[in-house]
Amino acid sequence: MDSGELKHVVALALNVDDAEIGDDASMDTVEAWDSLRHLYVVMAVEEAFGVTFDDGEAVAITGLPLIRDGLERRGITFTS
Amino acid sequence: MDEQRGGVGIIGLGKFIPARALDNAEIEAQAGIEPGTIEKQTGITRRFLVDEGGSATEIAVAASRQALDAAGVDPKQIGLVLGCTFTPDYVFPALACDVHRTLGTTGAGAFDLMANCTAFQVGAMVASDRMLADPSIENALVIGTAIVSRHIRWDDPNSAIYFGDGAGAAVLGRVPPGYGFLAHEVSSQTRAYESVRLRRGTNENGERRAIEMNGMDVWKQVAQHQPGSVRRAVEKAGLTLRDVDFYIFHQANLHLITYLMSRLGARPERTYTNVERIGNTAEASIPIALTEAVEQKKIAHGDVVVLSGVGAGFTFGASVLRWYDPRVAASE
Repeated sequence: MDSGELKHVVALALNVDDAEIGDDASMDTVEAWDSLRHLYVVMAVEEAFGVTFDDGEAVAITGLPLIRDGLERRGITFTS
Repeated sequence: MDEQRGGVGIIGLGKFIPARALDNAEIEAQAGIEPGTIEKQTGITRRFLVDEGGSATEIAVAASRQALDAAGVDPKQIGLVLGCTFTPDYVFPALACDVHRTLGTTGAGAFDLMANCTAFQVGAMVASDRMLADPSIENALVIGTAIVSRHIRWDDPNSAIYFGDGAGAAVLGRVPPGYGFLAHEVSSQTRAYESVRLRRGTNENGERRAIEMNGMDVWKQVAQHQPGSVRRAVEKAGLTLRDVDFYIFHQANLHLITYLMSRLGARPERTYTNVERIGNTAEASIPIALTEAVEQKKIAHGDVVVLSGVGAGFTFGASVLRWYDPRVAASE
């Protein structure tokens, strides 16, 4: 899977342009990614990729690399 | 539940919401927040406050009278009055005792308990357990009462944006086997004990201390632990999440409720929210939301209903009940 798809899902949930979501995007680097918008990021990623994060993990995946790791642990591989 | 004697359920509900409205714009101006921020962050558009001369007893009694009327129960038939609040009029005696003398619940024992915003659910658990243990208690009155506005600094954007005042009450009574409360669950995660607090005394300026709140910690606690609390309660009831017809959550924040519904795999129409209109009314939020949901016929006889809350500390609670509507039952 192209990581651009993941970035697009995250960008939509945060209501920002895809360009704002870099490879290392996180709550620390994207202003719109606050604690409450994060809930929508989790819901959007779960729906888009058909996965369910554990409750604790859902709170912890506050950046693109962490989300990507979580998806890869569920068998979703990224080509770029 | 005693299969012979039946169970304990909610047989009457009432609420009181004060008349004085406080809109976001006023708070945003005082707290130096950009207009529109509160609604964006919380979904809340306004809240209602008790006037300066108003008391916790008055609003608790107003909600209680409505609940007693709805249940068709005389105050003298109440065997237990349980006040759920952290904002009573006095440090002691208990708010429940003042309600007791005002209503004339002469046959009841009365006391308060504190579990903050999940106190009503915990109170319902304690009351129903007492009723199951003591057959002489035919009815109990459980009241969630909050005058949080007296403990807010309106220039503090971390806490001022959420809270409103109100009261909600439920009369518990005997219901047929299979109805009423099926299971309760309470757990605590105390690592973030200091994250929402109201300390005694005055601050460095000699002002009475106000609620202090770390919103990020609240979010983490709720997102991490509240879904599990619901799942455990449902499992204790011998049911699955698919069996749940309706959820009533503590009305802390609209976004959190949306998230909880998503975690529980439930469609949005299977919950009721009023946080948009009245804000977070702390201990009163669950009974007020439940009262309105029943008034609007969103909950029907036989529905499996979950009440779920979280209070500072943090304490998580969930109760599962099969809704009993005596009017429908009588016509069956």
